[in-house]
Amino acid sequence: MSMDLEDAYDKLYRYCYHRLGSREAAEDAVQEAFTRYLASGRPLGGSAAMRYLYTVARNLCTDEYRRRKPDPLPEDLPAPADEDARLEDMALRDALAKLDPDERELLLMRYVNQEPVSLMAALLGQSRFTVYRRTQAALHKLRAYMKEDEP
Amino acid sequence: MKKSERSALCRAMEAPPPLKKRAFLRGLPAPRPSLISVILSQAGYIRKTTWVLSGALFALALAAALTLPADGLWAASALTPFAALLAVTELSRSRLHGMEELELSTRLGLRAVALARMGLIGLVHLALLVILAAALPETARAGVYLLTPYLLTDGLGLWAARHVRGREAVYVCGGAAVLVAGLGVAANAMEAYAAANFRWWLLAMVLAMALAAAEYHTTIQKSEELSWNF
Repeated sequence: MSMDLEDAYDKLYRYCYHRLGSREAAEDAVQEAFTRYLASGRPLGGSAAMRYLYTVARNLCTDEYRRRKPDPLPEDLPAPADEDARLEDMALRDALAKLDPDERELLLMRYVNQEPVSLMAALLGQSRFTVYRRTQAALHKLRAYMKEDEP
Repeated sequence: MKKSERSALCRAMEAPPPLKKRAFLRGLPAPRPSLISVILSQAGYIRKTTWVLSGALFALALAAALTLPADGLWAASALTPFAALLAVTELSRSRLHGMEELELSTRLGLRAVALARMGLIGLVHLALLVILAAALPETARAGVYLLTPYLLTDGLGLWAARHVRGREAVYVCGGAAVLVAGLGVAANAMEAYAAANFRWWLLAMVLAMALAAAEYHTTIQKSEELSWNF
């Protein structure tokens, strides 16, 4: 099965961006991950390729993180036009900022990038059950923080 | 998770648009497809008639084997060359139609296409031969009787497809299949299927296997040479 390169690039970029908080650093990490993958001679496609790309990107982000402290959650995101949605997004972003980086990573991968639990389990070196349980716990925590912020 | 909740999360976690994506993706070499995807893509290009006729031939051979206890073995054995004929004509289709240069210019190339088709048809035919042999008494012996004419026709057919151009190659391959099937009928008349002659069948199978392997190898090598000349 061939891979949608653009989709893979977007997912990895989003992942790296939320780990590093910098557009340039995230793009550098994504491109380095792709370059390393292609140099390995493996065919692009399937979950194995995506797992490899995430693993390389994650390691590159960790190296970059050690070099410099990233912003916890970037602020230069496009805001929705609707006022209610804007307020909801602000509350959600505040709640996300209260989560641990690992919890944010789980939510991003599962609900934003829509990666299967099996891929996340392989990437994080945990059982699928553990990943599922931790993702659910992070989601409950996020909802609880949002409720706390409600007037 | 609710749909609205998910879209809010997506909005909150969206990253600003990347700046260098287009340029980077344009510069990437075309992805090399995996072996499985090559094989699966080629499965769609094998003519349906090849599969239908293969199935019909093996069904006929199976029916003969089950309904004719005395003559089932040689009858089934005489039908397998026609299955090999189907494999050879499918494998050499681009050559038979004078389209090999066009296939060489494709992303996969003639060699990969030929290997994928050969692997697919070979595997399906092997599975059908195993089923057929299992339905016959003395499965191992029956396997040799079935495999020998198949491999012999494969070898002769591939040789013909390499040496004869165009439509005539199909007739020569068909002639080879009829010749081998006729040899099977003659072998039955001469009681060659008797248990005492089995060692000669084993020898014939080894020779047919060597011929088929050599012809497959040469066919693939020739497609490599063609790609150098292209």
